[in-house]
Amino acid sequence: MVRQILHIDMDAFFASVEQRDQPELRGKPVLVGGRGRRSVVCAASYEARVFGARSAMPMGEALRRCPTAIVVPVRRERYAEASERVFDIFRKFTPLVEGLSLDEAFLDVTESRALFGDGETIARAIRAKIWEDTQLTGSAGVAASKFVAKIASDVNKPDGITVVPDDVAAFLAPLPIRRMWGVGPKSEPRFVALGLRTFGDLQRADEDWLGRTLGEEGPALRRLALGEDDRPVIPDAPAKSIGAESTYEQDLHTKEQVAVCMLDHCQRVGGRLLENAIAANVVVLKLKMSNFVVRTRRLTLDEPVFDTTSLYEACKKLLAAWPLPELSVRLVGVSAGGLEPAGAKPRLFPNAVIERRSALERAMREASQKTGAVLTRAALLEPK
Amino acid sequence: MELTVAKKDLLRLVTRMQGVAERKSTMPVLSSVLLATDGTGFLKLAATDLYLGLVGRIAADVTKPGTVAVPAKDLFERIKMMPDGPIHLSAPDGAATTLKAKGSARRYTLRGMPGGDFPPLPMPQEGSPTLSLEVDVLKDLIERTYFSISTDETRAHLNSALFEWDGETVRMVTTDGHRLSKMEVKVPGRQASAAMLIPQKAILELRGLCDEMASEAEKGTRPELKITQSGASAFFQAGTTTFSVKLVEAQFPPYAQVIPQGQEKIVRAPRADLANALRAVSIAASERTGGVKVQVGQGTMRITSESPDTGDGFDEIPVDYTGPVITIGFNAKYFLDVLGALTDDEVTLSLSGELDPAVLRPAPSPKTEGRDFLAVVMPMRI
Repeated sequence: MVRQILHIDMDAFFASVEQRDQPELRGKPVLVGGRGRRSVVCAASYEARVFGARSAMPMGEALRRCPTAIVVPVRRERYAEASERVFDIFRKFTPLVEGLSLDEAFLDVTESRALFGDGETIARAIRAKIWEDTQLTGSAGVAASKFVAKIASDVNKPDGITVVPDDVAAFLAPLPIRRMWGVGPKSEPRFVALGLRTFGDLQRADEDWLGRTLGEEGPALRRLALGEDDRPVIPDAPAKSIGAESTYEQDLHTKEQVAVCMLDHCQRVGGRLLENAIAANVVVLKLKMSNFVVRTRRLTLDEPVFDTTSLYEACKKLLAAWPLPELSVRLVGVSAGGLEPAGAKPRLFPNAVIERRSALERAMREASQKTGAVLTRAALLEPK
Repeated sequence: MELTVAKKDLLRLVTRMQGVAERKSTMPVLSSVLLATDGTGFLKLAATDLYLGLVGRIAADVTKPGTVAVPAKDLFERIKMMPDGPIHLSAPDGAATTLKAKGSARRYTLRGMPGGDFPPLPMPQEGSPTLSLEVDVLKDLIERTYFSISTDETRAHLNSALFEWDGETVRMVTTDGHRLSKMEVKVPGRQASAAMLIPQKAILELRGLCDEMASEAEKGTRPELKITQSGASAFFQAGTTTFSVKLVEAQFPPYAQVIPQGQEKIVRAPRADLANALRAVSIAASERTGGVKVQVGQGTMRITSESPDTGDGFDEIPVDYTGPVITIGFNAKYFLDVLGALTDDEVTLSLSGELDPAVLRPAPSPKTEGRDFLAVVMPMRI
């Protein structure tokens, strides 16, 4: 049976959420991200994209291209919230939802057609519902495979819909090669040099020749160019880990500096564990050195925890055992793994210390929710 | 060194030695077995990983005294390949060791180390208190409680079994933090007081030693072990074999206070039927948690499982129960381990609330006379 796959991609998601929440930003170029030397653009509004600013671009570069842009800080919780509402809408139409990120997902609606009409009708209904519920827009691609649906959603972006006709190969043929999966600005010239400028060129190429010139990937790319892709939509599994990480303005050179960053992350991870009523059996510390080498160390805990102090203690143990005497760290990350529902497995000999810390964490959270104040640790207060 | 021994005797002792010697050690001598002549009539063997030690001796015809240490696994494999009968063993320069079968051309040479490199094994101090215990009793203690030892080697106090001699009772208790099992046996007329925390690896070796002694014992006799506690070690002596254990120096959790008292809801169930039903339903349980839901009502126990990925399972068995309906969630494996360690026809399950620990015991019968077993299992939220 021919499948019906939708790819839905929210338009300039983070920037759109900011423009929705702050009406004075509407119609103006907006860059979401930090202002620091090492910050990158997390999202650029379409008004900023006109000037050539793009997400993942260093902030400095984006501002050179678009000096009038308004830079707003990242508010991940807000985007996660909006994302959750969007995904809830997806799941009203099919249980087969595979999220790629906060703002992008594949939906297999093959079986949903009996209830809601064909793929195009479902895509229109989903887009209308997203606008109604969140005042955000998303673009949709409708096709028989994941690969083609993803390409299609980009064709009429933003706020558009593209239904791929039955002759998939003809639809794909005129597309430039850089739209191909795995082809980026770096590898594009290599394809062009081989005379592969469009999908059509790949479609017509000989498989043996592709195998010889592009290696194992070659024949697979040709099949994709013909729209042949039978990868299934795999519904999202529950999160395997919860983490937080940041890149710092200036390299961190002492373990004390790293420790403060760890505490900050532990507080964020702890908050999210508590919010979701889960506990972690494993803590992973990740450091990216100034030479971009990434190192991780993990610690399995005696019992599952969700409180900031216990997570931080585990991180401190990992850091203390870090072999390098000279540190030069640009990124610090903390993540909690081996997740299980908090309190699901009562223990014969409960650890009184951890029970006290858990109660404290809950109390702090309740107090901040009641008063609206932000409770944090003294070590994390920044001198004004 | 030069001597002749019977293959059968040598193989049996080397098999035991192999369990104690380290498989992969940065110190080669810890993967070795020490061979040393003992007078003109015996060959002494020893192995250690620095925590466990095993010394034994077998009859030998010694023609030239000496010592050598050879890799345990290599020695074991080669002796196994020897034809039955006498083996001639020689180590002329104290290191290279030759094994030769009498009346056969088969021969091996092993690279060894001088016996002097082998670390000295701990010895009990003169006058240390010694207790005698029947092998079958120790075997019983281990077999009823072995399964709930924590396998987490980083938590030494749980990765071990508590062995206690308390008045006229010997007791073994193990726990991994989610479940606990306790076995007690009365030893009338043998008053003593002792407590030791025996690491899991030692328990495993002791079980092997007990099995071997029990199977070799003449019918109708009850072989005994001598147990000596001295310093940081315990010594288990069976005939000419002595097994030494460096005890865990940690605090075993206060187990007595988590054994529930005065539970009122008591279910009596046939052991094999309960185990079958649990095993059947648990294959449909969520792979991640292994949780099953047990609901006990008048005369029946219903066991259900649900998995988000694979559907659900259900079974029902008749039980002896007359109280109010109670529902409680468990990791099925915890129950199955207990039921598998018992041989009794019937068991009792004592319950309180749905988040309170449950207690499994063999139902009282003439078989349970003088022997007291219980297992505490923490429930899980389902």
